[in-house]
Amino acid sequence: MTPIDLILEGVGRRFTTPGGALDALKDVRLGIPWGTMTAVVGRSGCGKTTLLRLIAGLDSPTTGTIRFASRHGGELDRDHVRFGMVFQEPRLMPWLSVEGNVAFPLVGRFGRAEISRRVDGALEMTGLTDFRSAMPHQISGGMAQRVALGRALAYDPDVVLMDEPFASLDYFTRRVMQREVLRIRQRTGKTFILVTHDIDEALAMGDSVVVLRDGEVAGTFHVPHLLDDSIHAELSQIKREILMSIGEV
Amino acid sequence: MYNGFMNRAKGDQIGYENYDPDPRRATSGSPVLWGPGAVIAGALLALWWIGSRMGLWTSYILPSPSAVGAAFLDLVYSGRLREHLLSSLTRIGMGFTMSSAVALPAGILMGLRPRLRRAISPLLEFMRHVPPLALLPLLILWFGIGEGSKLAVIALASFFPAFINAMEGVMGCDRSLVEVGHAFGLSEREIIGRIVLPYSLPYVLAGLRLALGYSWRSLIGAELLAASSGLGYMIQDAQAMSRPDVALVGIFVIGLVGIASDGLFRVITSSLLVGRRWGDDAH
Repeated sequence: MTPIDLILEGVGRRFTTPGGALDALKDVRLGIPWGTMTAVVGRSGCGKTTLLRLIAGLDSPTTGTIRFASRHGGELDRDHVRFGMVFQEPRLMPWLSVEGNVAFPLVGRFGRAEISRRVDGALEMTGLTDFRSAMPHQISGGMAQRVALGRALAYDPDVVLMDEPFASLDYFTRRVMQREVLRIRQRTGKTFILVTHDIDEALAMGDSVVVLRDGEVAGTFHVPHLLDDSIHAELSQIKREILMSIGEV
Repeated sequence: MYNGFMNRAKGDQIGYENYDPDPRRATSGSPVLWGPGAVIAGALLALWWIGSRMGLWTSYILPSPSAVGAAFLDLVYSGRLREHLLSSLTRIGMGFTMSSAVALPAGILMGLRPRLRRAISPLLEFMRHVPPLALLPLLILWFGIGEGSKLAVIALASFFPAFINAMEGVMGCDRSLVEVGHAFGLSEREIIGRIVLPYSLPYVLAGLRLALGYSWRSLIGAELLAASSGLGYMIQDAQAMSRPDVALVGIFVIGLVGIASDGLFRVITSSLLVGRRWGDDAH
């Protein structure tokens, strides 16, 4: 894993629709430091997923650049940065077992022993060791999302990108998964970017919260991790400011 | 970039939620209900036997079950049935293999290359609607009365089911799974080999199964018109010799061999798709 800071400079994405041009993102300027969890929030259609897709390289910006600055010095080409993507839906290969899905990004890149080591590690980290032989249709939605997370982690990415990964889960499973991701993040020290529409989730998980509004960055908030009771008042204040940025207050 | 599905109408894709890798459903229709099926077959046989005994029709129109049974035994002991059956099966094996060897790569290629598909589809649509037997006179002129024309009929008949299913399987590949491949940096070749082809496998196998049935039907047609061996020829010869009992033996053998070959194909495809869906229990 290479320590990388992500730098977005004037990133924009314009889509051509039958109704005319649509700017999904406009002049986004962001710095995402290595080893942090950045939550991106905003209303539906504000450009959250587009931003994530641009960072992942699944789409290209119309304007601006995304740079990857190595902390060892210099900049890295996108091809040298590994991204682990967790989508809103698990998107598991239905013909592969849990183990096969976790190994999916590794096959053809590593030897059998290394794949086995990584898969064992990812399964252990996501609590799926006992279900390694199960097929996707045999496991619950929460477990399937854990498999998707395990698949991303087994890849040992430099950056983990999560696109509303808990949106389709029920309240209890979502809470469990949130705790699990925080635990994994602490254990691995990787950079996480979490797209969510849930401000409480963003505040609970993120080191910083980026608010998108109509394709533009409406605000960036540092989330304090205080250990005393003042955290509640502080978070309430930040939440109020985030809601104001979104235009809810 | 893989874009085989790009030209499909919105909502026309086979999504992940619709993916059904169950070989029992993907490669077969309704399972044969052997219990009720046997009762119906037994009832028909009884009616046939009673009607024959009561002289409701002449043996020339429909010989009795016992006469057909006797003809069957005669054909078995004389070795003629084995000879005709082997002849037909050899043609099927050769024609089906030849056809599949071309149809599968062509279908996959068309599924992956929409521009090529658009360019060739008018010709393919035209060919698809021409029954292979309608081409038989031309095929005889081109390949002679021997094996060539019959193999060509089988190949033509079985080509389109295998071709179209392979193409549809590739085109219907779930776009979100392809995106997973892109997200993990897989090359186009890897995406095709590790996502598109495995996804389309049940469709490909269903197409091959259909193709096998089509080739069997077309072979009998070709043998009825121009052959000196095979089950179709045996039936045609029986008609010329006024032997409806032999013709019925031929019809029964065709049906039974068809069921047997289909069952064998199902066993093979099930073993290929094994593990894709076992049990229905969710943890």
